[in-house]
Amino acid sequence: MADETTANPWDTGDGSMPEYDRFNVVNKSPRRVDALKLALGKGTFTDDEVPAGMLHVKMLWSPHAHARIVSIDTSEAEKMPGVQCILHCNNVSRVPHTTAGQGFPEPSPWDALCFDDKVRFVGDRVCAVAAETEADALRAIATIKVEYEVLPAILTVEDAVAPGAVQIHEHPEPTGISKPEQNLACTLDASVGDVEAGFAASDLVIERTYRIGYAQQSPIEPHIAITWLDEDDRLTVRVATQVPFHSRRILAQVLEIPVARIRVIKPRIGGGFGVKQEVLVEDVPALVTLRTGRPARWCLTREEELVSARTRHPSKLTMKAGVMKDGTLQALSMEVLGNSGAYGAHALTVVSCTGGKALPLYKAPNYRFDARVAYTNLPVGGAFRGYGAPQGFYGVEILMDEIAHELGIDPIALREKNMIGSGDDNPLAVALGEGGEGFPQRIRSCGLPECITIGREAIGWERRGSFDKTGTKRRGIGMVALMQGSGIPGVDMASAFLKLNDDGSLNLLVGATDIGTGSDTILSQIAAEELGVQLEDIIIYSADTDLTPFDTGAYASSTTYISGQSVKKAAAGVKRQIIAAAAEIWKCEADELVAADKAVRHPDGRALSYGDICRSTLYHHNQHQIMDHASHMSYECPPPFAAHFCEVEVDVETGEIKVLDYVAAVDCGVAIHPTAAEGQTEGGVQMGLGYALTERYCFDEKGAMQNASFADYKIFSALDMPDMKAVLVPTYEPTGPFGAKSVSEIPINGPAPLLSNAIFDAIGVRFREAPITPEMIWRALRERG
Amino acid sequence: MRANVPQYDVVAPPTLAEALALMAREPGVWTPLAGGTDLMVLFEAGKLPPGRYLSIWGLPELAGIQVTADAVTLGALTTYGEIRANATVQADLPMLVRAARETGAIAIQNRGTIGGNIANASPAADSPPALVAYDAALTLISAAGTRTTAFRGFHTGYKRMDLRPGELVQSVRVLRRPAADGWVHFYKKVGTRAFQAISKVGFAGCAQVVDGVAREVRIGLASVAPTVLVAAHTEAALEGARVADPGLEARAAQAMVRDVTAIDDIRSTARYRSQVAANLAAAFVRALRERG
Repeated sequence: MADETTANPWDTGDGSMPEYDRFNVVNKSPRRVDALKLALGKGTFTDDEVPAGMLHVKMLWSPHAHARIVSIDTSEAEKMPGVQCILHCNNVSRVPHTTAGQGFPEPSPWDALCFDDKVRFVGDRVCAVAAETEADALRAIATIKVEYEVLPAILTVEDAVAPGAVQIHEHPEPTGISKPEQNLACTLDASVGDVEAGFAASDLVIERTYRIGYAQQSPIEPHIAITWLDEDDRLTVRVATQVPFHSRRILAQVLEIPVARIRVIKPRIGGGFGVKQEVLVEDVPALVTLRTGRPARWCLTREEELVSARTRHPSKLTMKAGVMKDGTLQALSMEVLGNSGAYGAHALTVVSCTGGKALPLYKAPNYRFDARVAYTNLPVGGAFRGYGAPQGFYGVEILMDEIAHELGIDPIALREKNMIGSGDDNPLAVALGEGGEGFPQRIRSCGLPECITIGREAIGWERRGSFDKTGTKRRGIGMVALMQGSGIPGVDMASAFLKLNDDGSLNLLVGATDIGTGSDTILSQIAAEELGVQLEDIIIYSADTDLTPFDTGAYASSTTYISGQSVKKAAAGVKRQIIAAAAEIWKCEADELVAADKAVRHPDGRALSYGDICRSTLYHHNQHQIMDHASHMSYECPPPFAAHFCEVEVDVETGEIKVLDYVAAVDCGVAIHPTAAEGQTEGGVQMGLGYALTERYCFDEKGAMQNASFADYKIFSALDMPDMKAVLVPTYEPTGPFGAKSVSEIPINGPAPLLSNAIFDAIGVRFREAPITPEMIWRALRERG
Repeated sequence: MRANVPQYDVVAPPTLAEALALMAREPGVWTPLAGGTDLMVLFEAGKLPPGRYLSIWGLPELAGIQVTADAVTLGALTTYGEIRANATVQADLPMLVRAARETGAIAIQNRGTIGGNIANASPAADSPPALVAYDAALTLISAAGTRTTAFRGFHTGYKRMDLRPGELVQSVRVLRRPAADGWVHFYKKVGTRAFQAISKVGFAGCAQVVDGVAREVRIGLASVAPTVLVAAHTEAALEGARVADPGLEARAAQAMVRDVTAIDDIRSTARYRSQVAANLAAAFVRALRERG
């Protein structure tokens, strides 16, 4: 099969824009393929179909941050009405694994068991009860007596790595923990050039420490899995997941049964944002089903989702930069101390993105990155939109503002002087890939300068510095520049299968996982564009491990870029077969023929519809099914770029922060579905504003979360949103399907550093900790006097 | 975890008389359920005590807004949505509209009632500070008859109030305070985010400024004490004061620090609440001065 990435007919070869009007289906915003069924309530989510005789699982969670389980007495619970199965550390195999749904072998430590004889945070698993109803299960749980030996709890990363700290993972089974005796889940360092020499040669060396806290992905639909045995006694798992194939593999591992005995079905998903890249709830109902033969369901409550699911890794960043008086960057270093909580899910790869995604935005001859991620007795970090990059950009983008302020340079000018651009090599790509050494990356498309120009104009940057500073309400303007990646180079792989039907419609089967992102629509658009059919001619199905080919899953901003390319390749293959079949019918050369508008045309004016050709191949001439499949993996990981600007108003009497105006200009290459790309941008900014301003985990002195509900944990709501403008800045990425790059993660990198920068402009106080609350503003203003 | 439905009895009498008779027969047994916007949150979280609930939502005797030349009477079942939509309330009692707008979101405003907000007795609720500032009068009704009491002082402690067993809030009466007569209304809610957030500090102040002198100064606050707070020291500091007096802001702020008894909780800290309340008292003085 020819390499479609090089044979791309839209590739102008020099990164310039192709003729847009040649697109028929992509770069347009048709109604989403699942819109109608979702609007009508017909879309089937995991919980929408209930198998007969289903049991309900509830969990007894640890009340202690750190304790050994001395004994569990379930004798009373076993006799309670409705109780069918009880699971705990004394009756479930100890199989070390990671809940992180990543490629095999996972780069996360295998430090988790289904049930351990130790609990490591308030909200860790102790004992599961499956009963006829949730109420029965809860009543039974209330009778379970657990004796704990309470251990000292480690509630800060500094305490975790202090000499003599109690060890959180001391059991012999786990593998892949970097330094268990020092409570370090992972360590990672990378360096280019010599930063110390770079600092020595600089006019100004600036060092700052930044801290950013916990946040939860908060999908509308919490984690849920329903399991049953099919007619062949195979375990079937319908689950709200971003990673059906990783789910199947990890489930086979922990259940100690063959992959062949498991089928994972991904129905409609109510959002994931990374938290469903975790194989978190499948094992318990699966064990119940295997032991009882009955279907079982486990659905987390919102409180359980906030406490016991996964979160963003809180991070402390020590940033140091050396610059010349004119703003030229000489050296840039980042030291990260991350908090992975009780388990090390995604610890290494998240922190590698903290450095690897954020540092290379600015070119310097010398870099150093030094990261440690520690275990604590607090909620567990995981994958979360941005995947470490939001923490990295928090450090890098505030630091750039601080440098600009120290040097008396306009923050935009400083960035423009140093930022990476088209034709540049990513200076850190080889030294710091995902979790270790990576692949070289050249920037082939970069719209960052245009993003900045558009944002600066839209926000009215020239007003900066001219606001009244005497009233009770002070205004300020800030900006940040951002990038991300598109998939994990050398790791992410996707595949697609397409077959032609009697009427010229096509079934498209993909492992790519639409979790509400719109990828079913986008992949259908790509197939339709390549084949020369309408969107309505594509019947897409995703994803089911029995029916669809493999895909690593919906994460790392990979679906459009990686899965999209596999669809495009498969579609090109089918198109070639259609043309070949027509050539056979007409007994002519294939290269004389043109396929478009769902028909093949001969230069003499004859035409055969795709339906005619399919019926011919199914029933008459050279009978065969026109179908093709393709896989795609990329060593390239083209970054999308963005510039965010906002205007804030700070009330100096109450400390309240109002975001008045927000502009996000993004270069995601050719947007396959511009409305969806704008939606991703708006949604990412909204989520990022919560991270910047309102979302906070409050713990008591024993490590228990105090605000585990949406009444007290405040995500940014639609009503809180400022006037927001999302602007797509088109470029053409030659390695992407129809020029596309990713768009889903990059927007969340912006708000947290941006708010620090804009608030500094408003009141002259620099915040190096997020979220920034009214209390912090008030305290800082009081201290300043 | 959602509560178990069979553990709850809900009765919905067709008339107010029957509801009151039921409460009189079994005093203390029945918990009134109006719009349900507080109780259903607890229910959904599995934290509503199982027991007997008396739905009064449909009782016409408790519904509606009555307007006379000098007063507005809100039936206990008046929703926030109805308050927001009423032209007289908008014109003469704007802080009730502000409070209604700050309460929850649209769906909650269509169910939540002023009577329920009063009887729920939350120190963080949005309407009570405005009712303090407007010196509202409550009419309470039981099988034995009605009585009238001042809203100021109705709440006696955390979730405690002067409501006897068998009694329901029937209505709230507030005198109209047209701007043309010199009335100044100052309402401010400080919360975590713009909407659907419980306040860190809520402030409502009202006074009549005539010839540069403040009269009838009334100030209520939310979230700075175990109950909705009557800022008596601050009111006294401002009553009869010349609004142009340059020292007035500082005196109001000092008095406010004496008034509040805030605590630390997950939403904020005592020191922040106390200072912000003092700043808002000063801002109220500036609002009075603009009028004077």
